[in-house]
Amino acid sequence: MIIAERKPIKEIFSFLVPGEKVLVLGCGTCVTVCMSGGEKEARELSSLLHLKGWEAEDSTIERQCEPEFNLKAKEEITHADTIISLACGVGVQTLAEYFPEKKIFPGLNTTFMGMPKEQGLWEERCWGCGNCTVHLFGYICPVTRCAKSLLNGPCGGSKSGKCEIKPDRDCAWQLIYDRLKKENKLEVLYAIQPPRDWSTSHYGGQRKMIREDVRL
Amino acid sequence: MKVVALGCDKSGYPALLRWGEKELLPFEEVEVFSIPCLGLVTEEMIFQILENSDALLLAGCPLDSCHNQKGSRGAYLKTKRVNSLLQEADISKKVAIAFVTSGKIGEIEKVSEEFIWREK
Repeated sequence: MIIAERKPIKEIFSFLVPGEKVLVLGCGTCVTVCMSGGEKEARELSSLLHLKGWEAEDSTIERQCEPEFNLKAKEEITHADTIISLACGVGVQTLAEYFPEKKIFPGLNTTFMGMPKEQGLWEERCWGCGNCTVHLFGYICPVTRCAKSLLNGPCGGSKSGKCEIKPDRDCAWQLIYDRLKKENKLEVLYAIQPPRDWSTSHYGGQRKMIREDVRL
Repeated sequence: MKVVALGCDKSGYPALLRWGEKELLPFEEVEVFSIPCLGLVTEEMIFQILENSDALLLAGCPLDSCHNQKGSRGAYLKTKRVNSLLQEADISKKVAIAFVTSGKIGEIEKVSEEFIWREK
């Protein structure tokens, strides 16, 4: 899922003009699960805005990244002067595309695609590089989880299974080795990975996917 | 200063009543309510109460002997979260939690003193 964290409250306040009607719009999908932009967080922010003197309301729609859901909240959106979107960057842009006349500000900083590791801890798992090969690395993505994104690792700098760049993180290549060893597949590591074609990644600019089979 | 106090009916509410009996309440207005367990308190409820009061005082069972096991612990975490949001937003209202038994009300007095200190 997409992981995001709330912007500092004062930054959010700085977007707003005294006296205007504010709608805090939560999103019911990823940011609800990572507890940064769901119904509860939208209510909290709206309460804080109330206490600071703004006329604030809150609403949460299922997925801000899909126009159909945004349109369901049309009435509330139209009624507000300013909208604080508690969705990821995709949600904010979708909202702005469909309500171009509205002042819309992001209430969250979108951080990464990851998984909840434990209560209150999320870890990045995927860069969305467009060419998934995790099966070659014991299902541990070295592009995302190795600080150097080495496809032919390890680098030799890890200590006690920890990364030399970020010592609080596990060395991805140690994890890969441990997993393959457990599965008796260490011979996989003898294969030299050729240079990656990064044209599928985001370095080439905005990406687009067209599925002719599902287009109307 | 207007304070709302919520006490769980096992420990907090009887303690709040005893505190009230001492007639030494340091606030202009205190409204005391009983609820079955502090675990029922939500962040949303706290914010709603703070819209019409200056402070919220929660009184519940001690953390290690909560009648409903995790009620006080849950309320403590929510209190901490709301206070940090209020602080970040520069809002001078406050929510505090006191872990008490019906016979030991010292912590309520301590917490109420903290409210007064903040007001100054």
